[in-house]
Amino acid sequence: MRDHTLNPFIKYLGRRFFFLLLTYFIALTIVFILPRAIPGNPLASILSRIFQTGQANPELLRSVERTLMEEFGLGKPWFVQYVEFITKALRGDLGTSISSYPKKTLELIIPVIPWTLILLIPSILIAWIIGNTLGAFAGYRRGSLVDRIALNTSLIIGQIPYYWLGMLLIFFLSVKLKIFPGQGGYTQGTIPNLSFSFLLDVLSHYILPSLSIIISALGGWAIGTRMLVVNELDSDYVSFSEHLGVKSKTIFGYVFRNSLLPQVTGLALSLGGALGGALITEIIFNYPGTGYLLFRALSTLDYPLIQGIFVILIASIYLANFFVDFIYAIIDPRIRLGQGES
Amino acid sequence: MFGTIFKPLFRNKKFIVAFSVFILIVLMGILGPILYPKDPTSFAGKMESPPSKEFPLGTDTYGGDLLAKLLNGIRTSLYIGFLTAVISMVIGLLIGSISAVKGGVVDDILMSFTNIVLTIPNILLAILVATYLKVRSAEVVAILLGVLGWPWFARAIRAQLLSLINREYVYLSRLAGYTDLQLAFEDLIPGIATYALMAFILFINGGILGEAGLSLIGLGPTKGVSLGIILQWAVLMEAVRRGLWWWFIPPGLIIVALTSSLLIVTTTMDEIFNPRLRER
Amino acid sequence: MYGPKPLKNLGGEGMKGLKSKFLVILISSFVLLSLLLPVNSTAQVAIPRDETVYCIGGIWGPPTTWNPYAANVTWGTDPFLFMPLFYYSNAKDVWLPAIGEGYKVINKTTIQVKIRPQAKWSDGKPITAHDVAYTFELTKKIGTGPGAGWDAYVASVRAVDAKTVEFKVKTPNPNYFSFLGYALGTRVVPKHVYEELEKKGTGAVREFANDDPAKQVVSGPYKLFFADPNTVIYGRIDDWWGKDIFGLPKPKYITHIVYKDNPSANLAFEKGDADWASTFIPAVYELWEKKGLPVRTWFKSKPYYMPDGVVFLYISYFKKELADPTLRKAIAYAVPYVDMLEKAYFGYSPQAHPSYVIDVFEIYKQWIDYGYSKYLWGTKDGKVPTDLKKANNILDKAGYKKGPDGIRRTPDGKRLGPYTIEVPYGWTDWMMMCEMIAENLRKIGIDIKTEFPDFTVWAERMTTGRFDFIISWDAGPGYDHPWNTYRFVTDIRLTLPFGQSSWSGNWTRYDNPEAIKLLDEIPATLDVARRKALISKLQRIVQRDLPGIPLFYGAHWYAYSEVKWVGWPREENAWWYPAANWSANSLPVLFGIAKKGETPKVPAWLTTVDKGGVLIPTSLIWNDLMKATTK
Repeated sequence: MRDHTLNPFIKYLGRRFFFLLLTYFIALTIVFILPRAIPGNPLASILSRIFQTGQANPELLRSVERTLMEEFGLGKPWFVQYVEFITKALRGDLGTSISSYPKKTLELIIPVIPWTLILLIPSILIAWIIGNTLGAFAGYRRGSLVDRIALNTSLIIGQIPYYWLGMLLIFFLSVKLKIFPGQGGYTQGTIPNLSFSFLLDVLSHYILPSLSIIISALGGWAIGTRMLVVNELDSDYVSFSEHLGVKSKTIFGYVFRNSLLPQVTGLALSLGGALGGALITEIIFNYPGTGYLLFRALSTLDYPLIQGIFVILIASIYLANFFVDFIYAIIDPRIRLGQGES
Repeated sequence: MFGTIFKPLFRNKKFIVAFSVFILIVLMGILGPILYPKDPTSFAGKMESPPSKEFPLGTDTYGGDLLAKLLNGIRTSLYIGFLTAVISMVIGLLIGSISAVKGGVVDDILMSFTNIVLTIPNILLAILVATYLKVRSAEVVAILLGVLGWPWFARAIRAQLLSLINREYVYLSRLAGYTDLQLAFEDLIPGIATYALMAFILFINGGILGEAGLSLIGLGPTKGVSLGIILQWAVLMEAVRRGLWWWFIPPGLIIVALTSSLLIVTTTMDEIFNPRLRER
Repeated sequence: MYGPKPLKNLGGEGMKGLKSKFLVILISSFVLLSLLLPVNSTAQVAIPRDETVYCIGGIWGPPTTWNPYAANVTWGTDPFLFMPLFYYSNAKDVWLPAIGEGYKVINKTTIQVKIRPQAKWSDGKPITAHDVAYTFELTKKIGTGPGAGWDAYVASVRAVDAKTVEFKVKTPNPNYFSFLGYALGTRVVPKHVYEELEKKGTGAVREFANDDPAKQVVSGPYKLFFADPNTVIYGRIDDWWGKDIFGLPKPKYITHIVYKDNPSANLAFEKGDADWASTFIPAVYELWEKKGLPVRTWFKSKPYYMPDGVVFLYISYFKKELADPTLRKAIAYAVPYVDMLEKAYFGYSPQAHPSYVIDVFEIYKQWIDYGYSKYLWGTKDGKVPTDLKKANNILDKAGYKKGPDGIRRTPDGKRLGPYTIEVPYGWTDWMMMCEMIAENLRKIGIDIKTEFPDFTVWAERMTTGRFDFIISWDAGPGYDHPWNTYRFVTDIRLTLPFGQSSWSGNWTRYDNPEAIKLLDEIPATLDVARRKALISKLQRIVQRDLPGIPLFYGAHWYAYSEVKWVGWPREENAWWYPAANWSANSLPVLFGIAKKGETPKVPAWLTTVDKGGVLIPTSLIWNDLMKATTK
């Protein structure tokens, strides 16, 4: 009815938004249920640390345990906890960290996010651009020696896991050749500031982890684009243009553009995986981002912090997804004109 | 029938090389622990010694024999990969084919479910779930990876089946009073068998890489040795920055060799079975 | 998907837009991100390496608070920022007067402590008896904080005048151990700061982060200089009140980088980037023996580290058949103590003494009833030998017959197993020990396998008592050792029924009224000879019933590097202990070290009172109490 008057563009985006919101809600619910479904003492990590300071007397332990039970609201009925969890999450309160008690988890997560974004976004975009260009050239010269070499190397490179590539880079370029620093986001003991020398220091620490992401993501894009280009070259308009004597450079331009379209969606779909990979890369490089924080949270079993990291990571992936949907909707005329939605 | 399918494969050089690499690694995993019967969990040797006659791949910080660990690790990783593939395969096939054959509301529900699982970033979800699974056997890791890996396959199967269903012989079967299940098993599944085989191989890769990734952040199997567990300990003990190459290079090489050989096997199969590609 | 696409619909405009959009995203994200980076433009860029002691092993996550009333204070708060009246050294069994100047025993239930006239907070206000009394009262109100739980042993804390504070022990059944521990060792906070917070409610006290270096009010010679999620730096207060008494500690800065885990921290230590290590370092001796680094631990040879508490094999009383002392005795004989410490623990500890007394500290040896242990276990040092034959004999004699599966049955027919022995996953040294113990227990006909669950699961089973066998710790060595160890392992009042989680001790739920009577009597006894007799009685009980089988001593992780700083305390020159950087009593270490190239000088005040120093042996305090009148 009124749907007919609605802009198809808005309608499309609205539907995507609703779908992502629903999925996010499901993800939140999973994040809520998991820690409660499985036994284990959530206070264990704080309390056990008291033993390690050598000052564990029974009275101290008892009073700390009592205080913590109250603080973390353990012992309330699950539905009360659930409603509290969701309403608090919507208000931006993701709970209190256990290992860094009494810090709020958000206070811990916010400072590390820029590091991850700075590592992830430029790296995957560079990989995407280089990979697609390579793939397109290989596809255009299909069957040639260049193509075969490019295809097989990207096939194998694409199988090298981020983290192992990272280890190799550290071993050869940092430990053996000593070209780049092999760990951290900046030199130890320096205090982050906006000076030129500090930014340079950050850059030198940035290159290896970034390289490991770029190299291992590159292969996949190259193979994908090659395949798309090969398909595209086979289509009617190409042979038609060839018959018309259009310059091959021009044809390549058209083909490249058309093949990139599905790769834009591919970029969105790959974000989750890329983020997962970046998290592990950060662990390998001791890079002070979200993955590093997650690793700490996992090893101290800081459940509120783990949950908080996930709530934020999943949300940002969905936001990025929606953003790509938005771009896609703009550049794909079928959506813009409201035809042929698939 | 067997001959006609596989003969062209063994005429392809790339396939032969990749397939031999794969078989070699599988043999290492199966026969290795028998031919080199040292206990991978014992702490027998000197700590962190480089490769020697006694320990061909050296030892780790606790004097563990890294060759014994590697051979057993290959076995576990292959097992996890295979099990993951079986699980993903079964779920994907079930959901994809039910969705395609039943159609209507069932299709709608199953496909939105599939899309939801597809949209939730599965690496993150795997990390999250694994965090709360306290005792993780190899099987548990495989189930976790398998349960999260199927959606793209279910969608592809559904698409393939839909195009098959619209063909004439399926229509005839329906007329002959076949039930949905019979239809699925007798007419449709054979039609997608090669496609499924290739997906199976990709799932194995996914399982092996997924296990290694989970292990690296400390969420791999809590008992036994896998390739990922070897890498995890190498990272934990700073083997890389301390230059203990014999600890982290071999397992990584095996992972790359294993997964890329499997991938080459599938792409060559794809080229051969998919006539559109073969022409190129 | 593979079909041709209509070219004209995809005008260049779309692609151009796409490209420029990416450019915009790229640039804007960089700008945005650089704005988001934590920036502190006023701070110095890097602190001088030569003036700084770099620490590892004290902190593994982002720093939290510097408020003693928070349940989880950041490393460094106790050792460097806030001082107690007295520091305790457990190797020498002496007390070092810090804020306190001396004590005076008024009668058997009352002592007074004089506060140093010079003692001042870092904001210039004097430290008074009112601060001390207030600290105790506030802790009682909040439930956590300095001296938490003091009111069970201390009847009252009262400011007699501005510089005299009086403690009264709780009667009847005084517990002098806990009384002295709380009275002398509790850290003092500034009343004028906390009073303001308290006006806003107890929540405000607990949530106070105290993270602003400009506003921190401390009593120690350091305060916070800089902190972010990866670094904590403390800076020396150069006009500290105690500098005319103690001098100033040598390092201008104390820095701790937050490393990911042990190995990455150890790597920094090995490279000379860290000086003061309190981490587990595998095969630490290789650092100086093989690699020739200027690195050492407390001992040059085995066991390398000093002990920090007893690690036990606990067997729960949850399964009735495992309660039999005879069975436990056989198990004690089956544990491969020496072998397992050598292989899994790099020899960092000798086998623990079955009396529960840490026999590495000379001072504690007086409590061991060697005669009984030697008689009971038939060895020269009274330690339990590993003897599988004997273990099997004991079980044979007690009527534990082997079934067809090779597993023994109790005299009334119950099969021994399947049982599990568990430690958390990833605790490699303990995991290895579990494997070795399980292997030997199978050899004496017990069906047991290892299980390595997640830490929280292990902790849950441990604190609820629902386990078969676990390896776990005790309360650590205080000056009340060995009494605190006996109490931790045997006092049923510390725990709750099976299934309810309690962290306070006695994981096995060992219940023996005879032991409880002794536990109450020992700390009320001022006469050393009588106390020895009582402890000896308790030793017989624990060696008879074996509620826990002592395996080894947990190591006091302390290693130092002399790349930048020299003169660290060690066995040959043991001028202070405890020495781990996370120990609350390690501050004196920083007064005796020196920059590389300078000659270290141990402060003269670090000798006992009879030699002209300030250190007070615990025995002096006991003597004074004994001689005192009851009223």
